[in-house]
Amino acid sequence: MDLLLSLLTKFFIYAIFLFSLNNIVIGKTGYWAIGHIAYFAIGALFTGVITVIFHFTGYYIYLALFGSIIISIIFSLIPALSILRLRGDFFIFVSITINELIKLLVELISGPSGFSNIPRPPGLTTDLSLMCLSSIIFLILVLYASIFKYHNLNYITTIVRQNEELAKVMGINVYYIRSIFIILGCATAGAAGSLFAFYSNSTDPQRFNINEAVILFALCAFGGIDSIRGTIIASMFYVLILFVLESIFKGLFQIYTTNITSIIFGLILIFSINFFPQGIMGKRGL
Amino acid sequence: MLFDLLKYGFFNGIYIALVSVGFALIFNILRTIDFSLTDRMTFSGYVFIISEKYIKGLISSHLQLPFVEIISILVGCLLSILSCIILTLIIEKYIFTPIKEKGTSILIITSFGISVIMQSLMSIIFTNSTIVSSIQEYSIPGIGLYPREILVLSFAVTIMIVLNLIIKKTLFGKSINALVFNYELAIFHKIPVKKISSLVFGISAFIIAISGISLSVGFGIYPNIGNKYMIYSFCACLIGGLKNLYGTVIASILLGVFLQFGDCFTSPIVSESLTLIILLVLLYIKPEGLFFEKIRVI
Repeated sequence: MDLLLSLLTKFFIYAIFLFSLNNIVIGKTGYWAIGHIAYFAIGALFTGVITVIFHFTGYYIYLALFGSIIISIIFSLIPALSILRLRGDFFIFVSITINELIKLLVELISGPSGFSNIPRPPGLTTDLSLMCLSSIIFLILVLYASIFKYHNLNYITTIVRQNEELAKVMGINVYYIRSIFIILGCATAGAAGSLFAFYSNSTDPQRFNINEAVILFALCAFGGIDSIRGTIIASMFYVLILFVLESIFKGLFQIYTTNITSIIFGLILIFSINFFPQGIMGKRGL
Repeated sequence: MLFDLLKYGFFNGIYIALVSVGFALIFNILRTIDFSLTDRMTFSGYVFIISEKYIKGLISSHLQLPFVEIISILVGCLLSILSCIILTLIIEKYIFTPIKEKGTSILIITSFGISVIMQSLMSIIFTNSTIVSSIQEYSIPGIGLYPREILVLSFAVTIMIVLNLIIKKTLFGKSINALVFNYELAIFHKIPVKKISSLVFGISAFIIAISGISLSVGFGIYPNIGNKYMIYSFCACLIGGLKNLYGTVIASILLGVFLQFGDCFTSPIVSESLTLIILLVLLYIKPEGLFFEKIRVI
């Protein structure tokens, strides 16, 4: 039962993160933010700083959750400003650079092995309560996405994504629309990172490196861009694969888990991006 | 001390320059940067360490030959360069060529996929710890340099001059330029696209293998070492301009010296972050590179 609860919590946290990458940033703006995991790292780092360095206790720990959203919004201004001039692969370069910078920041602040023993706030001490909170956040996001499908802004994002010149002619502020969704996605990712820090009690900088970023991008391509069902299936798949590999390689062979996961998702990425761009649930290609 | 720092920085810059030249060469064919290049460098380093060790053992146990060390080093270099070229050509033929027309973003993501797979395979086979080659190096008295450093420096200078001559004077170089400027027209004029693409990838693999061998002898390698050189060389490419080989090399050497001074006076993390911040600012201000001939729309 504990195992199932733990897996479910992990699934909901990764689903929130993947939702922010797949359905908000890539889905609505069309920009391939491969280094989006940087904002996950920012959320986890800020939670660690508040609880381990500044020793916040009791209900004040909830400030970490809101603070990481605000810090993520501040840092999200970097890619949001870059889309004024850059697009396509140059945005990918910016995204990778931000990812590497944030990884170095995490190493600088939390040391090479990261924070450990991050306390949970009262009310979130059990896995069940953490799962409830993350599932509520995820349900709100899903509800938002399904209502947003019929909103005027959704049609505007489609025009902006498909034909930028046409959108400009129609008087749409292309830059404003895109930056809104980038900032929103980064804020959601920050919240997911904070939840992840509570869940795993630690912030390991190796979790935020470029290989992990590529794996999470592969999950988006696998599930299908801008599809909620794809996001759910992809994150379930990821959590299950991690669980299976972890139960096979125990103890000394634990390093094989991350490496084999990387190989599997690297192959999935190359295969799905070239031959299967819709993913399993998506309606449109990358 | 200042002179030593300059020297170390200069040789660090030479390694970055070799990778940047590889990036710039492949940029001519794919019109974007192939990020898995640095992992092929790590691969060649590992092949060199293992083959050198194995051949030395083989020769000393079965044959009584003089100059065992030199023979094993030469054979190791040859094997490493050959395996790197073969691997590069396989990746070029079966992965990059079929998807070349799908757009640069897809190429970048694919190269990241290859990079992740290669790094994970290498860390499964060779573990994550740093491996250094067992070759004993003796510095030349009087100058204070290792023979390896002089060899790499002379190789870098030669390859720069030869490459520049090839690209500017020969038909092969002109056809590379033709491919960059107008792909369709180049095919129309019956330029052998596949042959040129394989040749360019092969040259880049040769350059990269040399730097991988030298890294494995000098500092030791680990599976993720490629990421570090990838970022530095990418920064150097953007400063120097991808079409301008001399500019790239000068920028790499300056970056190497800067990194060495940063490591000495602050800490490696700070100097690396400063490099990344420079890269980010450059991407904002002048994404086409400081000394870049504009050849594609951003």
